[in-house]
Amino acid sequence: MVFRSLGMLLGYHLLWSTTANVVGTPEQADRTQKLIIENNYFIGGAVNPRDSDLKITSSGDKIVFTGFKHFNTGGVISDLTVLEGVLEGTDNHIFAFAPTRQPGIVFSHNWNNIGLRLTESGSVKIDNVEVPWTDALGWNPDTKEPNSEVLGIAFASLLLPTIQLVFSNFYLGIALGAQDYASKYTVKNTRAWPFGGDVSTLSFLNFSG
Amino acid sequence: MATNGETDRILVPFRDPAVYSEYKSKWSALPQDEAGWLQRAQDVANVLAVDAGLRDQENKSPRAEIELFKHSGLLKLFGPKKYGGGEQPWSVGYKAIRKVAEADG
Repeated sequence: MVFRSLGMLLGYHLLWSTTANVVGTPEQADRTQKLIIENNYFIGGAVNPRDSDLKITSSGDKIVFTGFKHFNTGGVISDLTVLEGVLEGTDNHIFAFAPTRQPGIVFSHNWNNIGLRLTESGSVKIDNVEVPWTDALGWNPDTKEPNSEVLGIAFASLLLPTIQLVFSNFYLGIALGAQDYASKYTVKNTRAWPFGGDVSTLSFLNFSG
Repeated sequence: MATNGETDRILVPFRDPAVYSEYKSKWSALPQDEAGWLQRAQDVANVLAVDAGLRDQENKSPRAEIELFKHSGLLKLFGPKKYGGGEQPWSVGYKAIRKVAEADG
């Protein structure tokens, strides 16, 4: 039995690692890439759209995320976690990176699934996680408004199709790997039914009960 | 069991990341082109394929496997070259994901 999960973790990481390139300002994208690549970080995310958005409040020069996500792929073993929420009193969403290992990011470790078992996709509680306004991707930290040149254009919507293609590719990999495993198993471990070489009708009937 | 990110590394079972330490020096040089990166992805897949079934049954936190990814350089596939990344396009990323998934989804 060959099992599959790490292609999914790699795919999510590659997507999250480019988040600032897609929804951040050029300065944020550069700063984030420097941080991720120079430290060889693994990135997780708590962004699953099936749950309510995280709530964001503004507190001085920081934004504060609070909420709960039922699924958070790769978060437990990540160095940085991508958070996404809605700023209180507005309909505006904010993406931001936060260090995973901090008291406000609390994992439930409740992933014991059939399939994709090693992805650690359990739930996570986000409890007053603070991020500097300057790290609110695509936002102007002075006016505390979204930068329309970054977030007001179609490019900022590309995270979704990009992750869907990640899914397509690890599904394809899983299918190809299973096919390869099955074909090797068939050649090495099986014989024709019932015992190989015996194709008489009588024999077939006897063995089919 | 709820734990924060600092303590979960102690409380949640994981394999010793040192099982993959030999690859840190083996893969210390980053691949330079698409063919090289896809070969690296295949090399990682081959390591993972050895005991993918056992690791599934154990269902441990994949901390050692993430360390293997870090040794391989694959996490830096897209990063700018000036910071030590491979600066490859998504087309290469998708192929790399597929190769790893063939061995270990």
